[in-house]
Amino acid sequence: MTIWHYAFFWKALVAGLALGISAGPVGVFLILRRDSLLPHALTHVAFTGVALGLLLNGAPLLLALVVTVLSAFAVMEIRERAGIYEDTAVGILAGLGLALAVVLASLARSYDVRLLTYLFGNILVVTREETLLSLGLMVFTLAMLSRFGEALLFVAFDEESAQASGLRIKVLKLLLSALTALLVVIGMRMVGLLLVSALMVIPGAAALEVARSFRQCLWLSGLFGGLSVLGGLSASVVLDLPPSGAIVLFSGGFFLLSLFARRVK
Amino acid sequence: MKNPVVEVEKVSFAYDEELILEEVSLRLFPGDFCALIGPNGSGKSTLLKIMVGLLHPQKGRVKLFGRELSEFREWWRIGYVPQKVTALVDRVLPLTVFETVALGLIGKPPSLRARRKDLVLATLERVGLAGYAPRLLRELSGGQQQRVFLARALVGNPEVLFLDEPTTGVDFTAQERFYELLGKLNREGLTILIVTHDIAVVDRHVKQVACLNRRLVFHGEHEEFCQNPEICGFLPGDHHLVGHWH
Repeated sequence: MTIWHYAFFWKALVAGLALGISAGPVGVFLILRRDSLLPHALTHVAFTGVALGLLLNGAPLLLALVVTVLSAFAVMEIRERAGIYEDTAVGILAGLGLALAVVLASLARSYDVRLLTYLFGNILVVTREETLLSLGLMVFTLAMLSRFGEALLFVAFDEESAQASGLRIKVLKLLLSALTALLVVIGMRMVGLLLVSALMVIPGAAALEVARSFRQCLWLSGLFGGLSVLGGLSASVVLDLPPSGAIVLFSGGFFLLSLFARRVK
Repeated sequence: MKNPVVEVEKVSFAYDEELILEEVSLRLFPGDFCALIGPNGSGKSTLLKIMVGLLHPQKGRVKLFGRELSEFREWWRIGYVPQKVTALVDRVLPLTVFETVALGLIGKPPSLRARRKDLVLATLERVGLAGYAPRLLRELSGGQQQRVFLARALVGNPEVLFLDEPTTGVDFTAQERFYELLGKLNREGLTILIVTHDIAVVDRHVKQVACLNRRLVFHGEHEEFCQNPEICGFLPGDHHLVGHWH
């Protein structure tokens, strides 16, 4: 029997592909908004949700989702109202998120394998429900980008003109923050909190290097994300490597190839 | 008498404690082509941003097409070209000319959006960029990029166009072509308000001049402006002015 005969591998592949295909395009918008560190900061906050879930013996994934989405909205408000630099707000969020997670995990006495599962992820143990959740998230993300992608681009590219066109800037920013938070939380079970932000940003960065239109850039970012999961997962099985690391390294490979392709053009 | 397109009534605006605009009143009528001039820090760009709803005045009121700005929803009736648009174009974003112009149709009525491709191509032809649709914006010259942003503002077929120092960083020849194009659009019926610090450049094209120096110093026909040495002679060091000319 080969690996392709095992149900767990197929579940991992489908869930991973769904994540990779939806994370790439969202990453493109984050990069254009100079906000590529936001998913990294949100992973720290998601860690707080997980620790809270372990402390309360509740559902870590659900609590992480609630805490992360609310934090994404909060950081947006802080940036606008407190008048501080955007990366400062992200830095503060990341620091406080991690600090709170450490305290909560200590109170829950849960510095064990459960916590490590969320930190490093393990795509090979995703459940059927989590696979369906990933597919649902992919459909939702792609539907949102298909409907609002052009408006999100307008805001990222020229916010002033977008506002003068009557676009509801705040709603669009909230949408992007919510999609980022959702992807972070769903992705943490697969590639782990430490690496999910990379899977959001690197395929997008690679696509921006080689695309000849914005539309092409979105397609390529999804393709690079999906191929990174496929390549990384296969390599992890064949070479007995941790899947999360292999997936992100594959996306890094696409970025280097894209840089090279742009230079030789 | 025609109804005004834009009505600014006793508008005052301050950033923190610094008063930028003081009781400014100004009206634009259909077919006007008005240059809003003044020294650095005189509040030109601030007034323009107030007119298009980007800033809210502490005092006074603004109406677009007879409606209070807070109630105005027909944004497709206005076009806006922001300051330093060429600075928005970086080496990272792979945005084509077509995609850039099409952004101007977002939020516009479905009847316009349904004709997206035709409208974008026709508008590019209108600004002299026929055949440029598939090109990357970052690969065009500053003057060409300027016309792409003008096309983006025009694609929804607005009735009034607001431009904030649109030719900053563009060479003289491109500036001339740009203003000639604006003159042509105005003759076709478009109302235009352009903020500029360089009256000499727009001199031959505009019909009206509004001179701002925290307060509205002058607003009238271009010929009248030129015959008024006190206003036309706005010179550095004049104690009535804040800031200086470029």
